[in-house]
Amino acid sequence: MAGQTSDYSNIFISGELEKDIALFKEIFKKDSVLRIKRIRARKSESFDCALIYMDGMTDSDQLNEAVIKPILTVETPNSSDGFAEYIEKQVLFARDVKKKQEVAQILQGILYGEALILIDGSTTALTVDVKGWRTRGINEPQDERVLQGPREGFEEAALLNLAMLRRKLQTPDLCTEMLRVGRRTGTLVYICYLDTLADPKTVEEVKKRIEKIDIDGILDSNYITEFIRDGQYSVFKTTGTTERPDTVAAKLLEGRIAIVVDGTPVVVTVPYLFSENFQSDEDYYLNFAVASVGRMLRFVCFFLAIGIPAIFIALSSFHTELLPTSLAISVAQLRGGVPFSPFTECLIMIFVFEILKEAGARMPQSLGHALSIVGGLVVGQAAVEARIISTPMLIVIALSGISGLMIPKLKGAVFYLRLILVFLSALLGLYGFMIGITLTIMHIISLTSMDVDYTVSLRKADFQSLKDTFWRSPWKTMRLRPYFNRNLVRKGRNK
Amino acid sequence: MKKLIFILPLFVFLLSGCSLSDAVSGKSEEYLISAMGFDKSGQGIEISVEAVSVNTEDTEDDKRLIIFDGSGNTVKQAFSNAEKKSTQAFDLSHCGIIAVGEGLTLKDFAEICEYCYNRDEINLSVYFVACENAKEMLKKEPQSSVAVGYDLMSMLECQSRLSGREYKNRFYEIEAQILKKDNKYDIPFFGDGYFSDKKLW
Amino acid sequence: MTFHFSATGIFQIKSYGDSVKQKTVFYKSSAAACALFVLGNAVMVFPTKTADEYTFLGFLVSAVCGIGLCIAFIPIADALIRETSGGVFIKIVKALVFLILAVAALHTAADAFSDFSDFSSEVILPDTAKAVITAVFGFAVIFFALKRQEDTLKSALIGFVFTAVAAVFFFFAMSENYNVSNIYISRLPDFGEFKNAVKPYFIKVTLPALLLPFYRGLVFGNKRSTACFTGTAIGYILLGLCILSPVMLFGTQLAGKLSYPYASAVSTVSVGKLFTRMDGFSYFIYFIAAITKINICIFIAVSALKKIRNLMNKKATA
Repeated sequence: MAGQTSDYSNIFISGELEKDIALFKEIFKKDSVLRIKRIRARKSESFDCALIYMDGMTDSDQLNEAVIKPILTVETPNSSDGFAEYIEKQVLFARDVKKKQEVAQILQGILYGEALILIDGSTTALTVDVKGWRTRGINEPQDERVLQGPREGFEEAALLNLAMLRRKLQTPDLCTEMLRVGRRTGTLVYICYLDTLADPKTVEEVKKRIEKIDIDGILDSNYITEFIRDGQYSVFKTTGTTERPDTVAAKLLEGRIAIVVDGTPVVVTVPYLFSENFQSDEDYYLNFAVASVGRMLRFVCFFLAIGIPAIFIALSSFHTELLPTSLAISVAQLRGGVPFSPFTECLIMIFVFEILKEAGARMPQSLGHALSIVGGLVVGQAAVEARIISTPMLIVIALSGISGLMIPKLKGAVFYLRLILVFLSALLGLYGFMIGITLTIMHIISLTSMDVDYTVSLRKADFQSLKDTFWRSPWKTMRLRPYFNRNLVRKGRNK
Repeated sequence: MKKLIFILPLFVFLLSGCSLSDAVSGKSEEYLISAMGFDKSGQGIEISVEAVSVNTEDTEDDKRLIIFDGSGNTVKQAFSNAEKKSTQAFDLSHCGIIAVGEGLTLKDFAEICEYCYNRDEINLSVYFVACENAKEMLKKEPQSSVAVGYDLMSMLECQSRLSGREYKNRFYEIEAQILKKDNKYDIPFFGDGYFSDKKLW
Repeated sequence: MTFHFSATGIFQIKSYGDSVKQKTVFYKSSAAACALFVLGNAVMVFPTKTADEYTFLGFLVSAVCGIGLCIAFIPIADALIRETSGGVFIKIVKALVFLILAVAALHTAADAFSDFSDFSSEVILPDTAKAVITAVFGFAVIFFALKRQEDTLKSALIGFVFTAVAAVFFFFAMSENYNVSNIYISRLPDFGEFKNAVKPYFIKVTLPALLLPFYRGLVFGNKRSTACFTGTAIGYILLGLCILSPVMLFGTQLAGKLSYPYASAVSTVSVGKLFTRMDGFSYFIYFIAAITKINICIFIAVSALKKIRNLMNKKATA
């Protein structure tokens, strides 16, 4: 048995029922889930067919009512070749019936919940959409909760996700192009965009990159992300991810492209800009003044998260003259007796904090109480009293850690940048910090996402390009879309 | 691979050129100097340095202030002799007050200023004050701050605010006077617990 | 619509729609870059040891000359950069001018590099080996130089915002300690005094402004823009503030005696009890100004050398 559906590309239905059934039995010889039902019409003895489907993937009721029952009542049509046409158009009660001849295409349908009807004497087979697998249901995404606003979240079935999008964007401009990715999984990937807004070059670029993916299976959108993203080794995300249909709809309305992958609720959006890391879903559902405070706070927290430990090490190790005198005295006093250098202390604390964070995310809830005691008492109190770490360092790392939690989209970037800046500060004090922060900013500026500048707002740096970056301007002032759009004007007739 | 070949030698060079070891934390093992005092000692100069000890193991009876003194024919010698009596280096970057005692001549004063100017750690906004005996003044108990030096700074600022009398006694103001070769220094005199306009020269 | 510039990397402006927008798309960024270029290493070292009561007057005259030269050379730079057909003699002259430009740009870059390295090893990290400091700064310069010029312009915009805010803030923060008599001029200078006042500023303040029209031409091509002039003017204003602060605070003699007057002046600023030493901000100002200046100079030098190569290729095929 070959491993991929594409291996059956040049094999066609023969028209001899027994032979065709034997073929499918051979293909799925080790698969106990495949069901083959022979059906003969009551009123037509010449009509003999077989129904092939995957148990568990089809809706039994629909299969019985829409397929089996109607076939049993079928009458003899004029010719064999007409049988398929006749059944497709006049017999079946199903909504989506396709005629297929190539075995590879048929296999894709069976493996996705379609039922196959093989007709004796016909080289054309019919596949009927009777998908009936169980889904999780529409829930609010765990990591993207909002205080105010829609609470729908995507689920694993791509078609349902597309339906949710379609409900939000009731426009014929919404395009959905399907691709199959993964040699063995044949995962369905849908590229969605608004035709009059998305840059056609970017759409082509996305399609090109996805088509180039050579992998045996796609199980999640991240598989695709890692293949198609710009800045492969950058710690910054250059593709957006979300589980919320409202977020995707908003991004499509700004000319972005969404990649919906079957089997995962996480949808990828491109191009992705640096300022999007600081956007929260409810920024647009709350009053702009309130939302702006949160936005600015997130920007500040990013620099606090990556910079505070490094600045502290630089000031306490190299430039104590820059500390206020009273602070210098209390820092020096509190650090007295600690055997490690500030750099070593900082590294220890960063790793302990990361361990606590990861453990907190993955542990069973019943152990949460115990972990908070361990974290608080042992790390917070016992270690300080034993002079393994100093209080100022504990405060610095706690502040840095909590600031980092304010921007979950930059989790990875914050971790790496914090370490790099700490290392540079430990080596070269403020000089190293300056170099590090400048190179970081330069790196951010030089990144692209689908050939769109990561910091495209800085190209013109006027109000319209900055209106949704450091703050969220009122909707009245959001006259233009981001500059990578085909159609910049957001307001007005036919826009 | 190319990036690694480029970055690795730089990294090794950095590590060897800098110190990532615990020795870098030497800053916490220095005495924080809050004030310096200069007095005439025979033909030479005596220096008294008020150090704030931040390592509590180092002090007796919870005292955190230590006065180190040293004499020499020059300021540099005197300072060096004072440092020899200490177990740790002096961090002069937080020095708030430089006190000059009676008996010092203008020439001594110029030498003191020149020495302090060449010590880059001493900030240009350090205050100069005059007194009868700098060492005795620094030996007093601080009232509200950690050290006498910082007490004097607060007292000076408070008195200036209340009386409206702004002294031109910052280091940079003194240094500017020296460069103009103008010996009229506006240094307040500390005596009987407050500052007055009494002049040393 | 794509522009290719002969520079380190490829400098492209992609059109995403309205071509009218492209005219001003880098206006703010290039003005910011020009302003930082003017600040460059001049902000570190002035006033110098030779400063006297006429030093600020000397700066003002140098600044005006710089702006004047900048404006005067704009059409010359445009004419040189424009690809036009001409005789062999024209091409040779152009090549010579570009060669001088490249050498001048590299010299300016080296000067800024050297000044900042000296500052770093004397002030920021006195206990660290100078070779290490220089190597790290060199690495940073190379990193910047390898980026697109568009990225440099954007980073210049960010750097400029920080620098301008800091410079203005410190100027006003120090104002309570200013001694206005420090800038009084008792009488107008004679020619010798005037020459001595202007001379120190000539190399680092006036002459580098000649490079900016060429930078403008390389960045904007045929498009007309006043970004260069605006940026240069703003740069001189900020530089003026940075030179005036130590003069008014310390007096010309002390300001001239100090190795890095502006940093020393900033070290006297305190805001409340918490922010008592704000020298760190002056380090950032120096770093941003120096690295932007060096980057722009490298860009000009490489562009000029590539122009020479293009001219020689044309000459060979002609």
